[in-house]
Amino acid sequence: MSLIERKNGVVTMKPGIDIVASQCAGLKQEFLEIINSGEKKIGIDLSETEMIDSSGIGLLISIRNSLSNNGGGEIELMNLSDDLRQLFRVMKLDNHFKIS
Amino acid sequence: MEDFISREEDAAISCTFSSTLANIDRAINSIRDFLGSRHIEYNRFELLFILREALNNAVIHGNGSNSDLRVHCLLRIADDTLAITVTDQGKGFDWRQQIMKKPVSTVTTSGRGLNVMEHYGYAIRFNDAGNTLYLTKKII
Repeated sequence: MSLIERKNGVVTMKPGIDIVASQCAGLKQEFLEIINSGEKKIGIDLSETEMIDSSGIGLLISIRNSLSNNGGGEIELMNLSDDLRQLFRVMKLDNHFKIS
Repeated sequence: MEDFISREEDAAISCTFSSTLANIDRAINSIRDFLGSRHIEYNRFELLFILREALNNAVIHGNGSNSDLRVHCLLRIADDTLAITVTDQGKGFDWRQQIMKKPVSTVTTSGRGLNVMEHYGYAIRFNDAGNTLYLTKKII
């Protein structure tokens, strides 16, 4: 279960685990609950996430797409390791997520 | 038959398991522990990412997440080369067409695995049917 914090109109979610195929179903449910509650700005704190596989990348993209389809919104990925930053660059996704 | 079997030699580890996502995690953990115990110099993130992609493809796409079907993974270190073989029991796929595809769109949720394997410097081959993947990389 992710740690969820609401502050200044932004919901920050900290999965605390790797975002890999075996975890995607549970994480998707958590994301959808946040989106369906009407939140538009979602931060994802990846400080305790070592690995994101392509299923996890697919999940993040589908969440971003769901936000867009629900009238717009923004996802910010926070506290990525150097390896994860590089992975997003390799996949040419660093321009499509706000990364801080 | 056991759900998950792992065997180690001096310079190799194999895992054979039924096609579940939990078993992918078990295989990754076994291989990570094996490499740690052998004190092998390698880029840990890249290798574990590549392995996950290969095992995800075998379990999800190759075997269709059918837990009656098994995946076999062999990682071997010989001289200066790391060699990975992943075989599933599915009917395979048209890997020639997949390799020729253009890079996927940034709004598409799948289809990036092979591109990333190549970017990280792994040579990719398949058997003719497309249900065995061979990956090699110089590690020294």
